[in-house]
Amino acid sequence: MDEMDKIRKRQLAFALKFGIPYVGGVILMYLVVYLGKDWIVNQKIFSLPLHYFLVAVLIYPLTWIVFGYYVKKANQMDDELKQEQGGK
Amino acid sequence: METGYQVPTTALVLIGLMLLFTAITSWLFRSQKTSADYYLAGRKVNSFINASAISSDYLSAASFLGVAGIAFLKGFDGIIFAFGFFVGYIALLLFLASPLRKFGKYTVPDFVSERFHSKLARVISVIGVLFISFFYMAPQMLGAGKVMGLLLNMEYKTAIVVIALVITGYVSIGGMKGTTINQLVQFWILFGAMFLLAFIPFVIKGYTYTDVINFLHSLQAQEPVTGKTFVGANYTAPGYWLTNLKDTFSLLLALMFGTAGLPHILVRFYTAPDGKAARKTVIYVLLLIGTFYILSPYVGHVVRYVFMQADSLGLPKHLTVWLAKNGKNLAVPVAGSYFGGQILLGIVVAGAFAAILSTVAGLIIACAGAIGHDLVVNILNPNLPEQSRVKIARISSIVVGLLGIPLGFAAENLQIAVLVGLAFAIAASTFFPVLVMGIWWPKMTKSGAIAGLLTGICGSFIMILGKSYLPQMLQFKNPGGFVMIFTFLAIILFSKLEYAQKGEDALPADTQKIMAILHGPEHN
Repeated sequence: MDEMDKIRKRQLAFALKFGIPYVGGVILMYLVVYLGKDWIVNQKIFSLPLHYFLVAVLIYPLTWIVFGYYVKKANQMDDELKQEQGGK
Repeated sequence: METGYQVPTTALVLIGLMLLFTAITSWLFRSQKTSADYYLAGRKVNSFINASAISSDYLSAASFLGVAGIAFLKGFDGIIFAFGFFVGYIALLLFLASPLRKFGKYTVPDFVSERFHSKLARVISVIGVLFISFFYMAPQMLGAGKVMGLLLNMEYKTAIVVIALVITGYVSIGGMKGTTINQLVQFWILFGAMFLLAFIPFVIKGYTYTDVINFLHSLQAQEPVTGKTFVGANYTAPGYWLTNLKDTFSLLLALMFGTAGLPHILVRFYTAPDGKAARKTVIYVLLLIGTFYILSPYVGHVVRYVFMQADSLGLPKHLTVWLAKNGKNLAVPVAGSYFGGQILLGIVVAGAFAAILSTVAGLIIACAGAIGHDLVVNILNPNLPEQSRVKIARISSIVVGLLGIPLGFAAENLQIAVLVGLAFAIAASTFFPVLVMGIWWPKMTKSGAIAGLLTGICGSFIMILGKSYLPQMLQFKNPGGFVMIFTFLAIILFSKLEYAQKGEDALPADTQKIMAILHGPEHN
């Protein structure tokens, strides 16, 4: 059962490795947008105001890429675990 | 009915076809041999179909009409809803989707009860599910009565009775299988409607996001009809509506973690064939709803752009009045009528109808599970034969569905914002922490679970209903994220206290076995 604890901790560490930077990034983005609003409303990227670009557009494809990768890796981990356990 | 409005024939045709399809699929899937068939579609729903059904469950009338509506009304700040609803799935993906499916039971109270071997925890969880679902159902019924009544030229009460009867009929007959197929179709109708609403102005009219925002940003003018001064620089800037950081973050956290605690969404992960499929489902959901949430705030801004130039762009008078009086709910139908005439308006009305049907159907299934499976079967009569359990499931669906009628009547006089706030606050502060800790912390005890559930439910009620009695610093736009912190603390504190008193006996005897099911390999 110690081995199961190790597996659980490995899965949790893997989820947190993605979750903490992502949630931290989201909060940081909102802090920048709301605390630095006087600055950010005048910044443009592809002619779109930066705050719109970040919150209304960029976050979506970025999330798809990051968590598409996460799912691929997490499912790989599950497969490896199944093989390891099956071999015992 | 406002002058100049005619019920679009396309809407009647599409709604007619949708209802015909619903009747056929419900009849085809009427045979349910086990309660797993009824509640969980036999746990064989493929990831893409499941993702469409979850998206349809999630994109309620509030999302379909409201996200564009709030962007129309509040500009940049309104986008926080789209963003928060979307980001909520990340917590679900990282911590809940796969383990919950691996656990393999029926409902959220099932998990809580079987993880901690506590009937009391099951009962409190059922109460939580019912609170969330009814508080969430009330605005759906209000939307059904007000918006569908207006768009289909029906009385408020008639619209509610018609919609409640339709949904109750197909959910009780078709169970989760029929509901899933219907939600799949309903999702693509509402998604198609939103896609057209964005495609026509963007591609055909050439209203790019950049042009629309830059135009609005530089505009200072009087709004049509109301004559209110519109200051575009404020409208397109952060802080127009969310005036302080505390409100912004409290709302964002409640939306983020509330989504991960909604029972009608969580229950759908039990329908996936395995944990890997559950994860894949979330990615498809993120793609589908993400696209939807990119499009709908754009549509809201385009409607504002047209509204502010109503005379020069030829916005009909009755549509201008609709926007001025009820832009939050009617921005989407107005966009349909303005950009695509009666045909697109018809598609939009059908989309709104689909959004209401699919969400209420999901809520009915979740509530029926809580009443039929958790209360009647597991608490009152655990030895009930399988065929009788299916019967109980059907009866529970009928009872919950019909409760939608008085709920809809009452909703007219209730404060909807309070109810939705409560639903998200309870979901964020009750189920999310209890499930996360139950799945990932083997040392969580029964007392910790019960303390967590009670802290979440009671804390949400106190913070929302007693808001005016609290000091300013404790008044939040939505207190879900704030109460959630206390729920985590209560779980840890009460678990540690129980552990200190009883030692290893405080932990359920099968904790390690359950951890192995939640985190170990699946054997299909």
